[in-house]
Amino acid sequence: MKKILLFLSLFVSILSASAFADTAPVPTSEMAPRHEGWSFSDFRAIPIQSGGRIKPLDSFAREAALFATGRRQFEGFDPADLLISWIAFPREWENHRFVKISRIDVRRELQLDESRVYFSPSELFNNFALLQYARNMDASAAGSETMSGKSDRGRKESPREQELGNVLSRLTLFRDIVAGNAWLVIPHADGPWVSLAGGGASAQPPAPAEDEAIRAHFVDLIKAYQAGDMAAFDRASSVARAAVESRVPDWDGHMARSLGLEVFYNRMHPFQFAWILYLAGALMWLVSPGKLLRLSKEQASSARVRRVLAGTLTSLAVICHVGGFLIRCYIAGRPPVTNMYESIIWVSFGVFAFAFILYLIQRLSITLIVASALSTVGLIAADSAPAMMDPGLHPLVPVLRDNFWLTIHVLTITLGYSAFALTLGLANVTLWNFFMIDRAGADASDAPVARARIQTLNQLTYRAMQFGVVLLAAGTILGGVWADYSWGRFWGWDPKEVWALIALLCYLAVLHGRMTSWIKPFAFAVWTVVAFSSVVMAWYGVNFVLGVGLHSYGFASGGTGYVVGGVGLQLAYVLVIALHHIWTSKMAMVAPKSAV
Amino acid sequence: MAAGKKTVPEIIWEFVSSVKLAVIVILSLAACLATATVLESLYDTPTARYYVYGTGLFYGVLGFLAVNIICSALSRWPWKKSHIPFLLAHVGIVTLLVGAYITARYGLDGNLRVAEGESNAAVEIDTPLLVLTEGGKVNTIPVKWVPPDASFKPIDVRDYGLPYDLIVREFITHADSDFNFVERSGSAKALSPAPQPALHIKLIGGAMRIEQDFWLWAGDPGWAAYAAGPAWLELKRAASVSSIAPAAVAPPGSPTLTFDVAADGALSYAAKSSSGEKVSGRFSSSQLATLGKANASQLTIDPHWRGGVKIEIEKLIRDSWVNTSYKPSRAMYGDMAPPSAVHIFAGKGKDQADVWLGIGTRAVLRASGREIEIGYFRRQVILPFAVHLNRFDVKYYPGSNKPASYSSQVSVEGDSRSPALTQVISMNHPLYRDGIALYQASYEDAMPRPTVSIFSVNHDPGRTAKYAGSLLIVLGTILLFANKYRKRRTAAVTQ
Repeated sequence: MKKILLFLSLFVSILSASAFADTAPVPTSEMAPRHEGWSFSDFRAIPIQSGGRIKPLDSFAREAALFATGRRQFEGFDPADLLISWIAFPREWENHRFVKISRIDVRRELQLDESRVYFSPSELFNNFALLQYARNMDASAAGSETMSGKSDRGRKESPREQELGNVLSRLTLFRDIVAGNAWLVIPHADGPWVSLAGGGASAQPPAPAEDEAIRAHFVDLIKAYQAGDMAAFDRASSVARAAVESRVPDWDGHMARSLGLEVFYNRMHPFQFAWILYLAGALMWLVSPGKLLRLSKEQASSARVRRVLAGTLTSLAVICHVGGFLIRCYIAGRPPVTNMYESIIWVSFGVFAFAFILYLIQRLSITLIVASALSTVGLIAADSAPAMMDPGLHPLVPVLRDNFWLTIHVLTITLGYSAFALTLGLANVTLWNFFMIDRAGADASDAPVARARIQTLNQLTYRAMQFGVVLLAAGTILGGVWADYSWGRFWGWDPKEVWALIALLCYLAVLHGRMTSWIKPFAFAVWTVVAFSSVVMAWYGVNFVLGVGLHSYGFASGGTGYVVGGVGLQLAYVLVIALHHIWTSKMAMVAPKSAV
Repeated sequence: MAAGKKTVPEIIWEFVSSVKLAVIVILSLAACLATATVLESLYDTPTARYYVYGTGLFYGVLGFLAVNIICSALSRWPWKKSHIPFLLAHVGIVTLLVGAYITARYGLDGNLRVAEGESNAAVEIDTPLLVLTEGGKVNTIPVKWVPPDASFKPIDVRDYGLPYDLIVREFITHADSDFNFVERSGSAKALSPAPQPALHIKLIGGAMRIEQDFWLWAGDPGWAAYAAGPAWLELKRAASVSSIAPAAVAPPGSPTLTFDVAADGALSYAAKSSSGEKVSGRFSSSQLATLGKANASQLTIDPHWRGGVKIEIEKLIRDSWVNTSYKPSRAMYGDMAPPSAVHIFAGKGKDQADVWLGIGTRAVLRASGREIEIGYFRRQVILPFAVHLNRFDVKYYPGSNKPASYSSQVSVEGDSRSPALTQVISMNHPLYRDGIALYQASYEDAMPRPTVSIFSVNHDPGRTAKYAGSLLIVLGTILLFANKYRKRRTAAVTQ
């Protein structure tokens, strides 16, 4: 509510020259200059308190840029560049279109140009409908606070309302950055840090001299930036960084390393490398002939070269993947499996790990190809939707803190998902082989090879499913143990645990059905693919669609269209192949070409 | 083919112990569960429990699963060594189900609310009860919870073998109380002789353009004062009620407005702003008498508070009593929805009387020529020990209001079985005593700091069975798959 009050005050004084300090110069151009080629290295590393932890300014800049613009890099601005540019050139940014409004119904409601996605702060600050909305929100918040809280606080917000709220938050964020309120860079040992603007969460009437010193360093830094003087900026940044670091309570080697590593991690973007390498590896595996073909000598030696190359690419991918994962663990001080982004990364890794185990047993490169493809898809999904899947590192809610069982339970369950993802990939390949046989007819020359391949794939799928069932059963039970340990009840019909159970039941039904005459190899592949929908529901649906229950620390929204579309495409693929299969086997029954 | 012909019991046996039935039961269970989670998402947890988890159908599916597992295990008799993994996994499932049943039937799962510096042993369980008391005899009748749009089956007390003409006609799942202040009459006067004035006022204006009206009533300390934002409004209480509970006190420095009703019905007031400015005045009883009439002049107080809020007097009742009724709440589902209320009727024909009771309230009704005290409460279980809360602590993440952890320091007195102990209960660090576990569940948020801790109290006699079942399931499944793998390898080698 405080946020909204702050926002209301925006309409009273729109970014008057009273921005932080008196550093605003006369604007020279329409557009704030981009500072390409600047390293910002010391600036990035300045510690800031935000979102309940101490992080480098670089992470803060990335979160702010992503939230306001919905992009990692807005118009080529490095996030750090963007952050400092906002405070240095507020006038230019005020009239620049960079605030994202992603929903068309919200744009319509605000009577804005529906064909645009980006709007300038000044357009929005002067938008009467938005002002009205902010006022209403404010009134209802005030009402529910004084009237003993019996209004509709328990109600879920619609996506439209969420987006409206987000637009207000984006504007507030911009204003707070421009005014200096968001820069909580002046450390205080007891209580929250103080912002550049002075107030912060707890305003202390006499500003100590040390605080003023840090402020002065930032004024130097901003002035150097405005002047376009890179050397002066770097000098001022390094002074400011040293000044802030010297006052951070409990500053030690570990903290310095952790912040430095975080800047490195932000810049490196290891998962992007990982998926590129996975993809390259998968393509290389695809063109290296497998064991099932009989090869001549020179073919075999060229195949060996390609396999070594493929293996190297894939190993590099795994190194990037695991390395990024370990860095994240070190920075966060916990295993990173507490939100969608982190769990996708972990599950992609799990898929590859299982495929590697199966590869060690049976030496079939198809498992590696399928796993690399799945990891690529997973990492691209995690990487390309930062607005939906928050890549930021955030503190945990109390129940998740220092808990051994959390780690075990979540890791086990998600490893189960990995195994099922692998069955999904393998079953899809199986279905494709069935389709090829159906197309070519049972007498085609490569039919025996395809049949052998189907049998192997079926075996692999079955094995991966066994991994999945054991892990999901164990993980669900461990969830019970954890719930018993934390809340005193083993099983509380919480939707997340119920859906894990439903997924388990679906796979158990497939495995039991395999023992009856109901499920034969073709049906096994079909139902394996269909059963994965229950995993999608347990993994994504409960948090993003149902949005209820005790696992509320993982709730978010967005992306439903993509996920439903993906599941729909997958099921359509199965349906087409199944119909084709039924049709061809009917035809074969009607007119048997040859006796087998 | 006489040998191939199956008798009916054989056919049934084969079906009941078949894998096909297992597939059907597994999928039915999955369908039930999926429905329940959707209901839970659309409505709330109790609704899902009412329509799925608590129904006979659901218990039936689980029972069928157990029967199917037991029969299929028996159908493999005599068991061989190779059956061990199968038996372990499936016996595990049955053990788990038995454990779950024991917990549901004999376990305790409730909440214990303790304020700092106080003790409590009464665990509340979320099932409402009617408590009927007459001449020292106490009877309890459970009230079955139904979701807001389901129909409520009226409860006739006679069906429980009680000789009272009492019927619970209505049940509102989430009820908001409606307080109606009326002139106090005969019987109600006997309770306290001093007059209990009630004042209806309205706050208007200010920077936020608020318009808010409420009642102040001297009959109850909880009603006598009202905090409207930073401002504190208070009606002087009658002498006889001031001792019931410690009076709430205005936070220091806040703007205040105090009313007092004189014996002749005149209303005097004294306001103080946060900067210390004082304003006082008086409205005579004749001025007040014109309120609500067509040609009434508005009686307005300007307390000179910052922001310019003014107070209008709407109505004064010199000696008042509150009638409570209930209506369905606007918040129909979820944790924010208020608790339930019942509408009880006594007697027949023109002797009929009725009363509304919300959770935690009681009333006296005349039925069948007797006076019966009726209370509507949550079921309570009294622990063998009382829990004393010494201190409640919340720690926040630096620079935010996100709680990082919270903990309660509690003391429990010793008894014949266990010694006294003092312990800190925090998330993931429960207190165990006499087979009962106390977990830190939540707290009541308050300013300047929360002081009321809520524990989840748990006694679970099915725990051993559930853990044993879980272990068997995991062990059995691993062996089952490992076994299959080994068999296939052997087969491949021999080929």
